[in-house]
Amino acid sequence: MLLLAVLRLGEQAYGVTIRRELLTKAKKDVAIGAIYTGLDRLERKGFVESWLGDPTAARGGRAKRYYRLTASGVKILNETQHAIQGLMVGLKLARGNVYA
Amino acid sequence: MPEIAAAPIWILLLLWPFQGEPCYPQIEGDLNEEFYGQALEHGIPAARRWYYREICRNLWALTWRWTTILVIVLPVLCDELNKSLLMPLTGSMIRLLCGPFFPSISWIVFGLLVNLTFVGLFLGVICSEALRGHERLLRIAFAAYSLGIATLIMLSYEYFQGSITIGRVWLLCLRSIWMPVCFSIGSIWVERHHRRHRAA
Repeated sequence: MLLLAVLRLGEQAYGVTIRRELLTKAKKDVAIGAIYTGLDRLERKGFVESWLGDPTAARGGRAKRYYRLTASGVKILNETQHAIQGLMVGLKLARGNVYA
Repeated sequence: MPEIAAAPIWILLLLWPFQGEPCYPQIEGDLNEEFYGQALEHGIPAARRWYYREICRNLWALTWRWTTILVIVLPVLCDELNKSLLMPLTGSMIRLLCGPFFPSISWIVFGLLVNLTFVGLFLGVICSEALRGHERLLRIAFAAYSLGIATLIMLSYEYFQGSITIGRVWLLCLRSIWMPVCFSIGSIWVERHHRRHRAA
């Protein structure tokens, strides 16, 4: 979900916007700390890369850290999408119940 | 940007142990930015309530990570390693060096001080190297564990064995204060070394 949120936001992906994206699109209210823990892990794996923006007064002088997907991040996202689509074939999901 | 009250910074003290984390400045900045947005949209009292709730949620999120759990568990492992291996080892070395003079009380205290100093420094350096970026939390966890264990030992002597000798109290105080001090010196040295290395 973090990878998808970063991909959707393009060059504007940082903590606040990623949190809002997850809240509005996925209905998941995630703490900022948990988002950075996940992003750190993804960055260590080489799926995302980050860079620092300029500090602003509204942020108490703290700089934003922007994220974007790397080539291997896009690749893993495609592979996951194909895997999910493959597993979904032949399944009908209705109100949380699985009918094969 | 319209002028509004700043976020209540005193509650940020809850996140103080995590200030050494690489993502801490971004978390603080994001919370400030969202507080500003909430204050404009819902008013300052609602924004303050939101801010308190988010700080608590972030405290929970930052604590339940494997690195933090490891940092909290590490002092226990260090203590066990010290008791079972390092302390007998340095004790024998001091006994070997001091020879016939060893039984005097001043030599025993000196031996203990040397042991605690070297073991504290050694563990501080090794643990901080292993868990880079978490040095501050490591120092807090180590000091809290040492002081907590010493207090428990003193209380158990007092309640289950009737009393505790003044010599044992001194030894416990020496161990629970001097060792975290040496651990912190080792840890701060590693932290500064890495900071200097990064700046260069």
